[in-house]
Amino acid sequence: MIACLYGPWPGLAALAGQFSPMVETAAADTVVFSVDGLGSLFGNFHQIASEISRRGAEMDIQASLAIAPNKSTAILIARAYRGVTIVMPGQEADALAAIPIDTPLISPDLLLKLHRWGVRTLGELAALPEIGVVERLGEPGYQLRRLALGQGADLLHLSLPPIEYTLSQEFDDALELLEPILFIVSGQLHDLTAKLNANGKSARRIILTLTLVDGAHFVRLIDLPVPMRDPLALLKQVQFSLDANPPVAPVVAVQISLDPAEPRFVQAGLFHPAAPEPEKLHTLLARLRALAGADRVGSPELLNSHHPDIAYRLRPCAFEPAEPAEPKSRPLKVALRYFRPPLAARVDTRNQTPRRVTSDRITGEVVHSAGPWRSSGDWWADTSWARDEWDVVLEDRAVYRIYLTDTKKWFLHGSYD
Amino acid sequence: MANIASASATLYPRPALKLRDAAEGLGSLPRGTITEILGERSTGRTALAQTMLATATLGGEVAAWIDGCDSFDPASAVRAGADLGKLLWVQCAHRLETALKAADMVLHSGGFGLVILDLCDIPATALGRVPLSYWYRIRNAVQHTPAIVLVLAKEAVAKASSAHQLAMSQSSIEWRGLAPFQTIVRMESEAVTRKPYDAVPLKLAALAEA
Repeated sequence: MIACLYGPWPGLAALAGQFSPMVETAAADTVVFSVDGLGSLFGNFHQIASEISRRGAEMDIQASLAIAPNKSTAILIARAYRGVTIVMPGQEADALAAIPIDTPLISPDLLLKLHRWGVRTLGELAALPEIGVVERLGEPGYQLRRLALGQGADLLHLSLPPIEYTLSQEFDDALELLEPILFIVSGQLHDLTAKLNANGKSARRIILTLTLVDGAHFVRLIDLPVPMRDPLALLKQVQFSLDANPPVAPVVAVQISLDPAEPRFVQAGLFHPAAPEPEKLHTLLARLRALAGADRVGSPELLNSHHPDIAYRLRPCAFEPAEPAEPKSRPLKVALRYFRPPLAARVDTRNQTPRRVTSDRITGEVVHSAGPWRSSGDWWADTSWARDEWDVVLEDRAVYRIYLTDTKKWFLHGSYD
Repeated sequence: MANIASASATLYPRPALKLRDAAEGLGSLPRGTITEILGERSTGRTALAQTMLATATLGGEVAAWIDGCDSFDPASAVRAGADLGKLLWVQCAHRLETALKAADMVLHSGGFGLVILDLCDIPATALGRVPLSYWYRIRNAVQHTPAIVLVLAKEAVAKASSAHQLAMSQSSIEWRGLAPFQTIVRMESEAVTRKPYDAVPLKLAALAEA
């Protein structure tokens, strides 16, 4: 059985929530909830209605109350009659018969047609032949007639309160090391991710709040690239964040919150090659940044520039699944290997042609050279360059690119390989 | 020479790695093993590796280039046909230990089809001090996975942990134009499969034009 509270009073949902967790706020002034199973607590439906009315009076709510076998009947009765109305199964059509059809449950264009037919009440609508109604109004007409007969089959659309994913813990003694703090955080993350899992959610962001011994709050916001709920992956993110930026004083309390988000659904192609899992990739990138340096890890991206040294930038990795291209034969292309930073060198020249290259790592007689080629650009910016470049073959048959700056300094730029 | 080749074929199973295929793609490169590409400068090691990078990334696989001495040139990789959006580049700033640890992390993370460990410009003395257990760990990490580990170096470094070795040597360089304003047209190399041994070298040519 379904109960409906109708009236312009605030707190209808709170009143309904005292009796059932399955509450739907159908409109601002209409709340529907299930009263099944309340018999063992309060008795029959009259006693249940009496208890709802009593608690409503305590909350200064004088809403109309209807209890009916289905949702639409309960709503129609509550809107039509003041006070308490109870409709037992089998009595729906009789209870609805006198109610005018001008109700929000019926669309305006259908109402107009029904008015033209001279239909004024739900009882008159229910008395129409079913086939005739369907022939003239189609499926909406069929549903409307069932509504008038009290045979609506609408389900409750539950309005659940927002779920908090926050846990906090205070310590007897202040903690100075990260390891015991992470131990506490690990337990909290396991509990929170279990809660996420139970509600079919994942986490999009971690909010870690550490209360320091001096009362200050140390807050870290960790945005996750994809929603995830693996406690170990989340713990790794917290660990990397605290390793990179540890709290400045001992910690006396820790609170961790997770921002819920819809989980990620991935349907990988059957013939698509495997790619790193986003959760693992994020952890891997964090580890690699800690190992090699934050600006030394990523996917290269070419810039629209001819600058010989900074014609690319590193951007965060995001490997999206892609349709593999048709395999085909690829010719080898001569590759350049950079010396980063360029190797300072001493170059002996004759008739402006390099004859010998001497540097800390590479030394040799030049057996063949080509150049110079003038290269310059960005004269309007701090990144301006101007140089003369040669390709030289040394006696070990290796081919290098060397250059002479405008300040008459020689450098080894790279080698061809 | 033919007798030697046939004798080795009788003694050992035919190498799974065929140079011609390797140059054209990853089709015959053995997965789940370490393959070393060895040679001095300007022998085509990097050109061969970047061609394999192109084949892997265009085939939809994700690749990692662990760059021991920050020598990787993204523009060269694009000329070879690589999709840089499928590439993870780790610059190790001449730190050998960082490069080895990074390779280990990448392999244990999983999902990478090709991992290139570029140690070409690391001094041989430093490479010689790497304990074999490091290479053994990398071999174990790649074993039973569909990943290919390519190690680029001057000399063999992975020792028994590598399943295949290619030794590259330069044959010739072809220039175009009037001296001194010449440009490189192509660099020809010879590649020999050292492990498993195949006496017949394959000639490879790397083109300089885009």
